[in-house]
Order: sequence, then structure tokens, then C-alpha cells
Amino acid sequence: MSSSVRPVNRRLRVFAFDPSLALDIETAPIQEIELKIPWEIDPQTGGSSVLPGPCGEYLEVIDHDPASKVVYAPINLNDGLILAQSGLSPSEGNPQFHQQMVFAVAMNTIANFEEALGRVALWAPRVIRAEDGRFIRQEFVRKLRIYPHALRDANAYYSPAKKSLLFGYFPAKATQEGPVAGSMVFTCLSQDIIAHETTHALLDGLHPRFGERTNRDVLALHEAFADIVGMLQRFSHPEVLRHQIGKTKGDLGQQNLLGQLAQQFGRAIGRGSALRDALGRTDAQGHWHPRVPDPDELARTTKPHDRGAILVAAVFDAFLLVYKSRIADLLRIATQGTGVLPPGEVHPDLVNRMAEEAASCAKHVLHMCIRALDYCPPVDITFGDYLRAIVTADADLYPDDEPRFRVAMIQAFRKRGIYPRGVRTLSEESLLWPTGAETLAEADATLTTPEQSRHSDKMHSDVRALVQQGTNISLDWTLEEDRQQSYEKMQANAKKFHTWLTVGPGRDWIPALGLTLNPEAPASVARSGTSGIPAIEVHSVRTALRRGARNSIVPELVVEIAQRRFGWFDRNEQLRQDQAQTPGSITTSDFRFRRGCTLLINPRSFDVRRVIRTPGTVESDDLLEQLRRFLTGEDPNPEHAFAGIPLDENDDETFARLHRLA
Amino acid sequence: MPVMPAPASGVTVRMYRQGHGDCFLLAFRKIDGSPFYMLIDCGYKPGSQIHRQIQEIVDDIHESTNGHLDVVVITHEHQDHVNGFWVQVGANEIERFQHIGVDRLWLAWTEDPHDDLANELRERFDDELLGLLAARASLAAAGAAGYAIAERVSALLELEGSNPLNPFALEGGTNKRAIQFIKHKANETLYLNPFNTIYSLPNVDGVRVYAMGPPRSESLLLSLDPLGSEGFERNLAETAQSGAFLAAAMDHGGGNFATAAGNAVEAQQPFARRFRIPENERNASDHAVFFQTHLDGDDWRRIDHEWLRTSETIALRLNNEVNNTSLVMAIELPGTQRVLMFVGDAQRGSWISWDDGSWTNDDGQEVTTTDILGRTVFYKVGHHGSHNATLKGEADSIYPNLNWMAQGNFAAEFVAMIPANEVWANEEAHWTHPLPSIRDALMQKAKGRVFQTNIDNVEKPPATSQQEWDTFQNSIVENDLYFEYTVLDT
Repeated sequence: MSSSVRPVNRRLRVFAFDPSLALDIETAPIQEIELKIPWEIDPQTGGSSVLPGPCGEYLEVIDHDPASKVVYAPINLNDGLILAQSGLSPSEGNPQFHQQMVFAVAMNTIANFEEALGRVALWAPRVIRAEDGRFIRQEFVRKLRIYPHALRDANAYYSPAKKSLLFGYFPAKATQEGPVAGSMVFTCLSQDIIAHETTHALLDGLHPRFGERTNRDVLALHEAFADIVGMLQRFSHPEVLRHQIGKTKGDLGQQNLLGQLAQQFGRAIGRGSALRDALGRTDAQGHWHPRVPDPDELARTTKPHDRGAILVAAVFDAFLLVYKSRIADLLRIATQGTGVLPPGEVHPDLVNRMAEEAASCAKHVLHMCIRALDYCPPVDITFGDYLRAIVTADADLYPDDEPRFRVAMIQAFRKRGIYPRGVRTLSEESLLWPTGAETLAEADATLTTPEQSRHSDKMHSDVRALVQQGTNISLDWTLEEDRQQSYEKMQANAKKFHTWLTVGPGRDWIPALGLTLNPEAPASVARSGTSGIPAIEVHSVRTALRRGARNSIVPELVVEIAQRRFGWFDRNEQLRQDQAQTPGSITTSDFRFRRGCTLLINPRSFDVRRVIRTPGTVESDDLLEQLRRFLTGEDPNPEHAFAGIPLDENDDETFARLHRLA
Repeated sequence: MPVMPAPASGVTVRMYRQGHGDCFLLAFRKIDGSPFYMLIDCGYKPGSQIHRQIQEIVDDIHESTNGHLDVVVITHEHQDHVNGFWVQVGANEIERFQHIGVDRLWLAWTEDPHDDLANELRERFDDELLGLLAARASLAAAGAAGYAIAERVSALLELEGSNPLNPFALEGGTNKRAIQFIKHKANETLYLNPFNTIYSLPNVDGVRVYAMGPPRSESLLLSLDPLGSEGFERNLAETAQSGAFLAAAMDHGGGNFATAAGNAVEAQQPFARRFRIPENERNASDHAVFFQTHLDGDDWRRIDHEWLRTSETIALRLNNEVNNTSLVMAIELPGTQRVLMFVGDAQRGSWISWDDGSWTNDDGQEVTTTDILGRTVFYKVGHHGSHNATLKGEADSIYPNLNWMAQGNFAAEFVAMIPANEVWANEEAHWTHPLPSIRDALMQKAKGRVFQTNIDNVEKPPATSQQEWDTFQNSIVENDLYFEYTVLDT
């Protein structure tokens, strides 16, 4: 097939939110939308590489329903009749449409990630362990598997062990607005839920340690981030917004509508009810009132879902702030400057313009939130860290904050009580993660100005050595590359970086990065082989190419480094292990205490653009104690309930349980 | 051991130390001067014993009461509240209370066979239980990981030690049969309802008993975990939503289960027959290669048993629901109006309903829960001090919570008893019982006067004055069998 006629996109029809819209005469016209997902090409034949399932480059949909003791035939998206009409039309009763919809929405989510991050998306590798839990090796996982009908439960989750998404179905309960009692509700037909679960898998591929519960925010962030992606993707379809905005008549000033739209999130399965609470509530007359943000609420809230909801609400507020400021001029034009629309229908042109603004704001905020993932510490992340990541990532790409996205984000987070640790003010400037030169200077605060510039020179020569040394760090990594090669390059780069850091010029950076090579460190700090030196793990060295202001291409090298220490709940046992004579012999413990650092390096200018580190080092007994108290529930937490640890820490299906016990 | 004397005024409370579970013996003085004995629950988690075995505890109850109990209260039907009365071990039925006489049995309204709401709840409970037993059998047959889940399900259903592969043995009824055993012994059974009625102790002057739970509201009974805001919808939804799971579980259970499931199996199929390819025919279908490649070829990603994990969620919910059926009693002494709170294992849904009603006493005055909790000087901590069985809050919060208790002059007298073997719970069962933050809150509120089953002696906190501590020490007994504390009514 000639490349000039090769399609760019595959169009597939899906339910706009979930099947419930079709039941209401008002929303029936917008029950379905068409998603455009990348057309995947087989490099050999030039034709489509999507096989029945659908099975593509990133995903394989396998419709096995073990509870029902059946399988369902896979859909062939390249079938002429299906291609000709943008896929099967939305249907609850046909499992092949379900396969099409999970595939389309998950691909759409992946495409958003790739666009924002500027590189191909990789799933977390499969870790193969011996019976005793010993690490043997890890393997590249090309495709995330999706089981659309895996469970008979009001639940859907990402299984890190199987690198699979499992969706459930269940008989509905009776409600006024939802489906008929007893009819089946399919979680794989909800856009929100599919996007949410796909995001868990994508995030796990980027940050495997974000599944470790080391403070109140980590799992909450996993949940919140998945909700943010689901919610903002929902707002990036102008056709849905257009209908809803057109419906609001004179009520535009309050902008309740978008809040309501966000509130319906996950309605089918009761998921997202915390989010509904965070945004506002509907009174007895059916009028929706936004909830005034309470800066103290976060401090009182401990459950991951409830904390997550506050973060989602903050991002939603930010989106709304920018949207409002961007449509202010439209409203003035349409109202001769009064800002008050006459009652009745809104002019369709105005509706179109507003819907476009909302969709483009949503897309921008979504990309901000995704891009921030490269600017997070590799372990023990907090909401405050995430705010800094959002702000820094956006500032590095767009130095001018023209549409004031960053200001809006900071304002919204502050109103919800989300502050970063150790920041003196909440100005944009002080939220930026420090640069390499700043970090080196900070590590030795007594330096004079000429010495500081020497730091800067040293940084340049060290980084040049890293990039240009005989063992060249591989930079050519693009969206078109084969993903297995990307994965292997990442592994190879990690080894090279490790050498640079532990025995090369990078050694001088160790203290400033919050790392330690101290052979006298407590024996519970994991050691490198039998050397007695604390081990340093380089988790990944990935490259990104981002399109910045004035369409400049900004290359970036993202490096994640971590160290670990074995922890015991029993403080005497900890002391005994810390003082053991044979460091490096420990294999099991009650928990792990990790510290780490993310570096953002510009491989062209040899700048260390950002240093993002967790406080302290693995040698810190205080921080270890803090984690212990958190894990054992000894931390007094100021909540309505005496919250405990209802989860079984030995179960690897973190998300299965997190969702169910919500 | 001698007979347990009744105090001249007030009540002596004895917390037995049989292990992780509840067993409280109370002695009041009758009008004629003889002692009146009330026993609240008798059970423990097998393996959680501390110094003495259960039989020694029962023997002591026998001796202390001359083999006669005026009232036995069974708060709810969980193993750790009832297996001291009667238990089945293998084929043997052990009647531990064989030689102890019982005048009256007090149970919550949820046990009343003539109560429609109770019957409805029970029926649904039994349906779900049957499905879970089937799911448990399938899990137990599905390798080590499955077996581990089956064991957790067993623990949640209070069926530890039973053989999950032989689910039709009558074990599910063990706890119910323990209650039946006492019911047969007792001359009469009283089902207590919250609010309105004030109960009294026969031949004891002036002591009043107020029932505050279980709530007569389905949604509250099913509301288990503390919430940031009110919203019971989800829990209600879950019970309706388990139907498809249960039908499949019974179908997979085969034999009698499949027969019992009947038409439900087909009715709960998500798709019409024309879309379904039976698992065992898939490799003969048009898509044989597809399924061979992805299911047979990729073993590590199969999900054949994943769906059975749902059984754990349902079992946990059922366990919590039973906790919420706990009889909640406030016992008020006539002179000082001091109150002792026995809450069973009541969880959030019960707690927040405690002020949904009130009582009118003989003098025609309204008695409110705020008032009763404010006069509470003794608290039997709910559910071994677990995270959702003691509500946190302030004295002015709008829902009943720990800080509604012991107000004004009563604040200085507050004492708590935690029926928990913390060591066993943490190390064997992996439960955080009691939750440290609850224990801390109790210690602070009670100025250190907190008994816990596995801790031999209550220790004086530095901040409490010696004089205050001596007074307390004079009113307690601590030994291997029990802790005893007397609430005076003067």
C-alpha cells in the first residue's frame, strides 16, 4: 500500500461515557462518539498490524470469562464491514463491541501519554522470581493484556503480576437514573474506568515504586492520577461538551455544568463517590452546588481514595480557572459586556467556541499532569512533590506561563491544602525543583560565587563525560522506534550510568543527590554484592523528545536512582540488624525503606536541569522510624475514624484490593 | 476458687482472660442480699489462649456463681463470643456449660425468629454464605495461592480449622448451635430492641438496662466503615450485586451446590447463547489458534481463578455485618447513675444510630443517649479495639463517639477493658487488634486505667498521681484467670 493513502487514524465508535446515557432522551444524542486512535502499521507488509482480539502493538484483548466457563470470539477490526462503519455500533449485548471499546479507549489513553511524554510507552517488565522470592531476571512485556469479562464483581483492576487489566460485570441495583435492577452493568463499557485502569498500568511502567505504600499519599496519588486522566480525557471530546454547554441556558456564569459532568464519573459502579463529594453536592431540588475548598481537609483525611479525591478536585479546579479566564472574552462579546446571558438557548456559535476552549484546556492540563511524571522522585512521592513536578515540567517546556496554567494550578492546590514539604513560599519560582548547579551549591553552602561557577563548570564536564564517554549513552529514541529496542537501550543506558555514578566522575555527586556509598552505613542498608558498599540501583535512563514553546524540540534524559534499607517493625530487631557484622547478607525483612533521586539531564547542553530527591538518605534512622510508625498505624491520625491497616501486606494484587475496599 | 461476691453497692465486672475474645461476668446485689450474676459472651479464637485453657475459665465461672447464672447475654453469633458455651470439634460436641444453670437468655432483636426484618436479613445472609462456601471449595482446589485465599475466607466466616473441601458438613451452623444450646437451657429468652423500653434485672433494685443497638435499619446494619461523609449507597449496592458471583460460585462448586443454584446459573450469564463458546470447546472452534496462543501458551497471564477473589470481599462484608448485629447495652446504676457500656463488636453503622431514639423513665423524664454516654465510666471496647469499632470524635460531634463518654464529674472515673490478645492477633492472625491509636486514645482518656487481656498488670502512667492510682488499685483484682474491677454506686 502506498504510504500516501495509508490511514493515519483508525476510527472506532464507543459509548461517550457509559451505556446509561442512551436511556435518557436528553442525553441519547450524545451516547456515542468516535475515537481516533493511531493506525498501527506492520513494517513488513505496510498493512495494519492489528490482529483479531484486537491484538496490536500495545494491547491484546483476550475475552475469557472463567466464571461463566466460556470464551467470546475475538473481533477482527480489519474486517471490511467493520472498517467501513468505524467499528461495530455501540451495543451492550455484543461482547465483540466490548472488545472494540476497551481497545479503543485504552489506545486513546496510551496515545495521550506518548504525546505528553515524547516517547513510546512501555509496560512494567515481568519480574521472574524463584520460589523463595529471589529475583532471577526481568523480561520485556510488549503487550498489556485486557480481559473485558474477567470478574463477576463491581470491580476492575490492573494486575501488576499478570500485566493485565481485569474488568468485572455485575447485576445492577435499582436506582432512579441508572440501569434497570438486575440488568448487567459492564465496567469495560465505561470510558472512565477503562482510562483509569490503563493509567494504572502506564504509571506502573514508569514508576514501579508508586505502588508501595510508604506514606499517606503514594497510593492516593496512583488512584488520583488515574482519575485525573479519566476525567480530563472525558473533557477532551468537544462533541459531548457542546451538547452539555448548549443545555445550560442562562446558567453559564456558575459553570456548574462541568462540575456535574465530572461528578457523574464512575457513577455506574459507585466508584468516584469520594470525588463527587470533593467537588460538590446536589441538593434536594436537584441543583448542584460546588463545594468550597477547605484547606484543612487534606490534613484530616487519611484514606487513599478520599485523599486522592482532594487531589483530583484540585486539578479540576485548576482546569476550571483557566477555562473561565479563557472564555471571559467570549462571554463579554456575546453579552455586550454585561457578562449576563439572556435566558434561553445559547447561540450555537458561542457553544462551539466554548466547547473548543474547554477541550483544549482539558488537553493541556492532561498533558501537564502526565508530563509531571518525569519530574517526580522515584520513591515515596507526596502530593506536594507532584505539584512541584507539574510546575517544573511545564516551566521547563514553556518558560512563559502565558495562559497562566501554572498560576491556576498553584492556586487550586493551595486552596485544597496541598503544600510541598520544605518549600519556603508558594511562588512558582520556589516550587521549581533545583537545578544541578543549585544542588551542588546547596550541598556546600559556604561557597563563594567564583566557586559556585566552578560547580557549574564541573557539572558540564561531568555530564559531557557521561554522554560522550566511550560507552556512549544512547540518545536516539523516538516515537517510531521498536519498543523492545527502547526497553533494551534503557537497560543498557542504566548500566552505563551506574558505572559513571559509582566509579566515574559522577561519584562526586553522590552526597548532593542524597545517596550514600559509606561502607560504615548501618548493616541493614542493602549492599552491592559482597563489596560492603551500599548498593545504588539505577532504575531507568529514558530519553524524551518534547515539543516546547515555538515548536522547539526539547531533548531530555530522565534518570532514576534509588537505594534501599531493610526495616523491621521491632525496634530491637532493627538495632540488632543495623549492627550486624556481615552487611549484605539480609534477604528478608518486614518492610523496605527507600530513598532516591531523579535527574533530568539535557544531553545537548550538558546541563543537569533538575535534581529531584527525597529528603535524607537511607542512613537516616529518623526517617526509617517515621516510615515504621506509618506502617504500623502508630501515627496518630486526625480523622473521623481510627484508621488502620485493613490490607494484607503479603498480597501482591494491591489494586484489586484498593479498589474493592474503597 | 470461692464464690464471687457482689459488692454492697454497684457492680463488679470480671473480664476473663481466655484469649482473643469476650467473656464478662458481672455481679450485682439482689434485694435479698444474694448475688445476681450476668454473663456477657463466652468465646475465644482458637490458638489465642494466654495462661489458662477455656475449660479452666468455664470451671471458674461455675465455682464463682455456684453453677447458676441469672442472665446470659450473647451479643452476636461470632465464634469468639460463643464457642465457650458449646462447640463442635470434629465429630464431638462439647457442652462446656453442661452443668451451669441459666435463668434467662438475652439476645438482640436480629436473632428473633418472629421478627420480619431479622428473617429477611438472615435469609439473604444464608444465601450468600452458601455461595461463599462453594467459592471457598473451588479456591481451595486451585493451588497454593487459592488455598491461602480460601483460608482467609474461612477466617472471615469464623470457620477456621474446617475443611474447605468438605463444605456441606454442618460447620456453618456451629455458632448458631452454641446459641441454641443456651436457649434450650434458659427458662426464657428475651430479644432486646433499641430505644423506648428500659429493661431491668429481676430482683435487683433500680439497675436499668438501655439497648442502643443493633439499629433497626437495614442501611445502618450494612454500614461498616467510618466515612468522611454520609453515604450508605455503596454498601447496599454491593449486596444486590453479589448475585452473579454467587450463581457462578455455586455452578463451579458442582454437585449439590450446582443443584441449589438451579436456573440462576443461566439467568446470570452476561451474553446470549449465540455469543458463547464453552471453555472446553474453544480449541475446536474457529478461533482455536487464537485461544491456544493466548491462553494455553501464556500460562502466567491466565485468570482462571482470579474471579474467586471476590469471595473474600463478600466474606469480609458478612463478617462485618454480623458484628453490626451486636447487642449494645448501657447498664445504669441507680444511685450515682454511673453507666457501663457493653457494645459487643458494633461498628460504625451501629455507633452512629445510638442516638436515633430515646427512653422515658418511670418519672416521666426523657433519657437521651447523649446523657447516658456522658455518664459512662466503664467501656467494654468494641471488637478487640479494631479500627472501625470505636468511633473517634469530639464531645460536641454530631454522632456518638468515644468522647461522648465520661463527661463532667464522670470524666475522672473512666475505665476501659480491651478483650484482645494483641500478641496473638499481630503475629498469628495479622490483625491490628487493638489499633495503637485507639489504645492511645483510651489510655489518655482513662489516665492509664485500661485492661487488656494479654497484659498481666495495668501500669501506672507517670502523669497519673499516686493517690489516684492507689484508689484504682484498691478496686481491682489481677490474676491469670481474669481482671476484676468494681464500679461503686456511692
